[in-house]
Amino acid sequence: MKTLFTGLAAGLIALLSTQTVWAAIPKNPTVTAFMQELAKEAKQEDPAFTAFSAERGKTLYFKEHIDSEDGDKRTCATCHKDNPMLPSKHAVTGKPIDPLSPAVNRERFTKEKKIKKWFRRNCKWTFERSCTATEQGDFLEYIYSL
Amino acid sequence: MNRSLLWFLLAFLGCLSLSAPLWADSIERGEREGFMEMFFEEAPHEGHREKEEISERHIKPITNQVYLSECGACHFAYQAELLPSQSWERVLAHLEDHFGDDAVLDAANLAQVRGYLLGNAAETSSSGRAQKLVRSIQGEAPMRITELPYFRHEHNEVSATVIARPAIKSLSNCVACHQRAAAGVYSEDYVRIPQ
Repeated sequence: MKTLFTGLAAGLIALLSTQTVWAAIPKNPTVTAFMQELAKEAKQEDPAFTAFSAERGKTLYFKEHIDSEDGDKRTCATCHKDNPMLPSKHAVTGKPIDPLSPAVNRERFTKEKKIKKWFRRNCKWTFERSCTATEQGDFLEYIYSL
Repeated sequence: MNRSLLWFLLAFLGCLSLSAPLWADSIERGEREGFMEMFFEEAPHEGHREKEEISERHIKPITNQVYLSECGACHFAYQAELLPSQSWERVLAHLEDHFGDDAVLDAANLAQVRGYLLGNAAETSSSGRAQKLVRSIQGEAPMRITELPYFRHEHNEVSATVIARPAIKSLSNCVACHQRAAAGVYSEDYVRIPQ
């Protein structure tokens, strides 16, 4: 019995560790190309720019903005949850939203047109402005780091 | 003796399960037929007229994929028949501020969405419900389905506290209570109000 438990525990640890190895998800060609474009723009925005940062992306993801019209607090997590690997709901309409994370939703970030559209719409809804190239790249870096 | 009874029961259950897809199909079409009506077609019953309205002249489910994915990404994809073309024109003219959200579409998608909405607007519908929606409008057609007098009348028993429930949130969330809303069935038979 004891050996069975040890075996199971070892198996579980092995499984968990492989998951940590998988945690940084490889980027698909679409998002890689899109981020290269963003990097060029980011360099124009700020000549001191070197690379995108998951750390800055995380800060952006949870950055609060008070909507000037409704007065409510909005962050990326409002519609995509604190953990973007979970399914969520639209904050206003209640419509289900599939997980944002490509680790659990392979459809994510596979079409450039769609990526651009949702950055445009969601930056406007959340922050009432468009996002800079640096912000978009950092955001993607963070999502892909999970 | 016992054994033959068992066989009979088995055979009966077998027949029932084989016929299940048949009545499941009729439920799919929104015709909620009673079990007996499967055998007596002309059985008179009270809800007959209502049944006819649902089965033959109900609001058509959406088949336009662009409309479904572009509009249905953020909210329930409302059938075009729920508003007159005058309303849809106004909605389409203000997509940059779509009830507080940016819903701007590129030219190709906009053409698709416009084609679906104007081609199937309420005034073109043979659905009794859509016709009632149109007839109830006084003055300028509103941009919100929830502002149509017929809609308000049909929902006047739903209290604000019920609407505020997390699973509902808004009267615009049709599917929260109308289980077959996506199929265009808004009959009271398919209403289940979440707690």
